[in-house]
Amino acid sequence: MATVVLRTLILYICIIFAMRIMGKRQLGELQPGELVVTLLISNIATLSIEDTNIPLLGSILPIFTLVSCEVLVSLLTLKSMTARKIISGNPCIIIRDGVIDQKEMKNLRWSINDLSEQLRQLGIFDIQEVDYAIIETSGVLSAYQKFDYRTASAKTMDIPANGEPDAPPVTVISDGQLIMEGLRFCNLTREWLDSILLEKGLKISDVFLMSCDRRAQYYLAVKEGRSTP
Amino acid sequence: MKRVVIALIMLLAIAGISLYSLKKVESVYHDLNNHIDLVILAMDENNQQSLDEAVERLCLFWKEEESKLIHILRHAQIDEITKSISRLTALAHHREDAHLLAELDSIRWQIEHIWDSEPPTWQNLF
Repeated sequence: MATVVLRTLILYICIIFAMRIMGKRQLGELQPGELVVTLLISNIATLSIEDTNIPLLGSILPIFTLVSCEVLVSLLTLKSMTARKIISGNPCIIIRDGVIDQKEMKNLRWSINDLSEQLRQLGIFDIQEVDYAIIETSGVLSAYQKFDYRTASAKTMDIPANGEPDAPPVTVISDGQLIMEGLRFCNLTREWLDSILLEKGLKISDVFLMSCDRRAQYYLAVKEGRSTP
Repeated sequence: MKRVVIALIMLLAIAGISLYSLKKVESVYHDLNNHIDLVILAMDENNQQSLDEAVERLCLFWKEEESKLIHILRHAQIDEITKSISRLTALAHHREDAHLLAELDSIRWQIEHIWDSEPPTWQNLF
């Protein structure tokens, strides 16, 4: 039994390493080839966990072979448009100028229910609102709404930028831990943070969450049971 | 680019391990056959002491190689050979020649089967 546990741990470490090598792309939306690799890896790993008759190398080598091939194929698809078309396929337009391409939907074996469901997930409940809908190579639907239904942006409303630094807020303190990268991103100093905390009578360890942006506007949540004086 | 370099290094390492395992199985196949030939020769010479020694050398050789082979082969295949080899000492000691020859033949067939199924030939691939 101890052997099985240790073999499982070794394979766990190997798989974590393998997933890290495959990169973040692998962990997000899977392309067809990536899905195959992920499924194969899980199956190969299971084999030698279940059956101690199979040498561990018999699982580790195929896993790393698949990972290496996946990395090399990703590089190939990055460099070559033809390879990308062959391996990942092309995105398909299923609504063009507001008209559903029924032939394309049949080709993709997409029912109207599938289309409606995917559109609802994008927050579109009326198919008439859609100008263009594209099924990406990962199988995810992207929709481009007709002009009347598009969300108004500052540009369409001619609102000028106020000239202040514009960047999303980032976490500066997480569960009592200071994140220096966050402070650096906001171009703020440790002194600034200390002065804020001093003003509120808090220590870093008292803070559950503190986020901040480049305008030094911050949000602060104190840990439960610890209140500001 | 770092990932590509790691992938290439891994592929090279995998190719190296595969070649090493192939060479290992080949050398065990040849050496085991040589040991079996020596046992048969001692049996033909009707010399009990040299027969016992040849069987002992065969057992020692297998014990040493078995621990290396289990990292590259399915254990079931190796276990069968180990089972046959474990009988040899008693069979040689009691001069059960027919049984001894049968076990040696069985070992020869099994190691040959392992060696045949290892190289990446068309037959093995498909």
